[in-house]
Amino acid sequence: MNYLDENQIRQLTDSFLSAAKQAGADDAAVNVLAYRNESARFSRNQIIQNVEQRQNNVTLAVAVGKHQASVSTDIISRESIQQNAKKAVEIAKMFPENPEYMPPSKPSEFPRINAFDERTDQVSQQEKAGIIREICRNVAKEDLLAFGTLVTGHTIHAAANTNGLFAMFPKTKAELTLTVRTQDGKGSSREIQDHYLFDALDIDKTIQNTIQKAVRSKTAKEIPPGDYRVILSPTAAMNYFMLLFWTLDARRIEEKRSALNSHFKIDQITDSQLFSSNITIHSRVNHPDHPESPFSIALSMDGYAGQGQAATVFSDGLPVGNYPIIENGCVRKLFYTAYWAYHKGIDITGFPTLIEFQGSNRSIEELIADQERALFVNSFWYIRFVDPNHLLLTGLTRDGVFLVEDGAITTPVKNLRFNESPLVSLQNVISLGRPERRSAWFNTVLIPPFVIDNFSFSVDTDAV
Amino acid sequence: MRDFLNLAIEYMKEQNVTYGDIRFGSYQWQNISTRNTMVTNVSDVQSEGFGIRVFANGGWGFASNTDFTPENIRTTVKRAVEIAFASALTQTNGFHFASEKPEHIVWITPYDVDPFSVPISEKVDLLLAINSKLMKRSAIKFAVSGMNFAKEHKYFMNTEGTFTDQLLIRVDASYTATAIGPEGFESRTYTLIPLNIGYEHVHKAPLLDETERIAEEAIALLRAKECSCEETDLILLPSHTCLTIHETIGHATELDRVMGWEADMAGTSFATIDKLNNLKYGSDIFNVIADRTQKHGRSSVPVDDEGVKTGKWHIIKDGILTGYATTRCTSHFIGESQSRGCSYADSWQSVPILRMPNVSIEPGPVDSPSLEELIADTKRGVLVDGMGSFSIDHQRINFQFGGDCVWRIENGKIGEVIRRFTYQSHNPAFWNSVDVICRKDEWQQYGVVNCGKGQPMQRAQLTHGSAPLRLRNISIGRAKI
Repeated sequence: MNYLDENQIRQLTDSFLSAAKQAGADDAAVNVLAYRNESARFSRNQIIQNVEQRQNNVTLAVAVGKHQASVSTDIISRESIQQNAKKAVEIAKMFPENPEYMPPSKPSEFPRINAFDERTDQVSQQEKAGIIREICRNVAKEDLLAFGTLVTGHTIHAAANTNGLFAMFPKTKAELTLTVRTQDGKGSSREIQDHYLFDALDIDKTIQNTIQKAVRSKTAKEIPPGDYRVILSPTAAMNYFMLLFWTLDARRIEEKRSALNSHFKIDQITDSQLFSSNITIHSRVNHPDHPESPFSIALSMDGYAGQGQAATVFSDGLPVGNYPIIENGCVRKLFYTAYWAYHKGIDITGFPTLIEFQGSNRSIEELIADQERALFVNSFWYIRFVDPNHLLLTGLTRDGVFLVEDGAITTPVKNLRFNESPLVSLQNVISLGRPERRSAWFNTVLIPPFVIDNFSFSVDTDAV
Repeated sequence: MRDFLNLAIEYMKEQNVTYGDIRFGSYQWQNISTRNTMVTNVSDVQSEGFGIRVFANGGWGFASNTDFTPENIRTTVKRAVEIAFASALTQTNGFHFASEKPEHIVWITPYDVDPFSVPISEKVDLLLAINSKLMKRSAIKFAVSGMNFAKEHKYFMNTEGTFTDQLLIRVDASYTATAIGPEGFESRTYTLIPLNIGYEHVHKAPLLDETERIAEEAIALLRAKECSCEETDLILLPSHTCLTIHETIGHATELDRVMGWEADMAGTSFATIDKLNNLKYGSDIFNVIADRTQKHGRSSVPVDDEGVKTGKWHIIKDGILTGYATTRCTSHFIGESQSRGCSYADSWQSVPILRMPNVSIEPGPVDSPSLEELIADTKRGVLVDGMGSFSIDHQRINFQFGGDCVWRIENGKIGEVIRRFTYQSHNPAFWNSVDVICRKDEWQQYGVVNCGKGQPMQRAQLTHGSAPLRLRNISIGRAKI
């Protein structure tokens, strides 16, 4: 066996919690992150880097009264556990009480969700190199260049605390990223596939799609910047919409630090129709095809615009639920940190680990066929806040952008910079397609292609 | 430690590797953050392990581990070799690897006070005192402050006989005041220049003295007029050029990116090798230096993470592209027989990759103006301080940046603060519009502490210096909702 099993994780968390108690902690919580990551990276049709990484990292958070501190280490021995526990308690005692102190999460019953696949964890280096060789041969046959990564491995997250909570979620990972570029550098495209099952990656489809789009993107034409109807691929939609969730933090809204405050009156934010009626987004747990953690790890959205980070290991292990976040354009659920939920007398749930955007059964091709004139965007790049007051974002198209005319892609166009707000775009959604799985920074999303009106581009670029 | 490293080298030789190295890393980080009157986070992090990199049978392999027993060192070496053999299955073009002479260096970041020897309570008291002063202004509803310290101790040995023992010490701190009112919210940040130095950097900094100005400017930003959409002159302060240099020159001249090795994620570059020695990257007075030896630089170190002595060279001379950042695998692409020493790994478990060195704009000639004289010489423009929104395309051509605080300049005088400022431009036109760079005594180094690159992603930290400089006729205010 090449990974820590439940007994070993329990022994580890128990050792840290006992040591913390012995060192004088009143409360303690442990977060374990154990992983093995194998990543082969190829460029110009050959592997240029091939690495294996493994690490077991433990974060111990303690409270002495309401004085708190945390330590992290990957040096795991009896001595280091005791030293770290002692250090955490000593540091905690130096500080003023935390006025927003919350005790560790209560224990919960979590559904058994299987996202660990032995085959995926044990794919050999030779097999992966063989796949990359085939990808490169296929791409080279078309006189093109392949760049990308093939990644396998696993991650184990565990949370335990002195309130009796123990939660653990092992998950395997398989990911292929493929960029294909033309030899003259005038055409380029990219596709990503990821799954917890290695055998679920559709490698042939990825190769064919990427080759086709790269060739089609060659010699892009210039179009004037301005407002366009856009068809965003699921990747582009994920790139663009994920920052939306940071506006849904209840405390930020009440303290008038959310972009929602600039767009809507505070008493209208929940249950009023803020967005197009076809926008419905759910938190999901125990999805049959996309198993994700039934509990959340410490995450705070309270870190922007002067609030300071408030992530705490004491909030680890909150159960994730099935609930609507936005339903038919109405916000149904705001997110609460443990302290703010307590302060407001609201039951807290964990931050979603799987976010599902409702779509339709229609393919991207069908969405394109509906449009008289639009731009199809394959992905976005380098998205950043311009003005957090309005969730005004900037970024650029990448990996292929095409003019759609009379229901068909007609012309590749040069990449464009946008300055636009997802809060505005969600009021301009014309139609949606079939959702696809994508991995975001902190969770997984099922997200459809979007057709959106009046999407604002401010300048183009020669970048390919 | 030498015995441990020697053992790994011995095992690599047993496996007949063409080249091999071992890097042992012991890391310590301390992060403290506060909000208003409370400590929001104190964390103390330790990490130790080793990484084995080999070139064998024509392929590269890397494996890492935390178990230091001889048996496990042997297993990790074997694993790296096994991975290299798998990589070799795809090789079509082969690899060049610049030869370097063996180095023996023991080195420590120059510092006076070990930041980890200073009691945490002293650091917390200072941060809470800063917050308290910021919040004296009633419009300031949030004050956030933090400090970060790091010790990175690396031992390196390779099959060519190089041995290094290098200790980096890093210090940075910052605080932010957020004003909230009917106009929305706006923040202003004070940044203690991130350097590789000891805690004396904090002792000498005017952290408390600057609170009043920072709070006042946050409120001024909240109440300021919107940035208009126009073309105007920019005067950029070193606190701002830091990020512009980083994004538009530093990344664009990383030779791995130029050759397409980053095409799947970080992107490529417009500054391709056919343009070496002929691309007009900037105006005639524009000179850019790469330097991994400058004192207290965030990427300064005598020997890089593949055993190459670091140095100093021009990337842009008299406005012309003259050089790139290189490693042992990439230097041959521009006909150079040796690496410039730009290899860096952010952890023992990360494989070294090409990272930009400290990249800085040289000051103007001796008769160049001071900042005050430059402002007096500017009829209409804006003065940009600090880093704001930043976004650049994947070939480093088009970019859009903001600032932390920006003032209008009218008839040679600094005027009102303006809100929601952005400028848009593109390479190489932007740097060709530089008409004045202030003189040497105005030159300052600033730092980028969170530069992501690579697959798997790694974090690098760099220093970028400049004197204030002026650019003519740049488009501002085009980012509107």
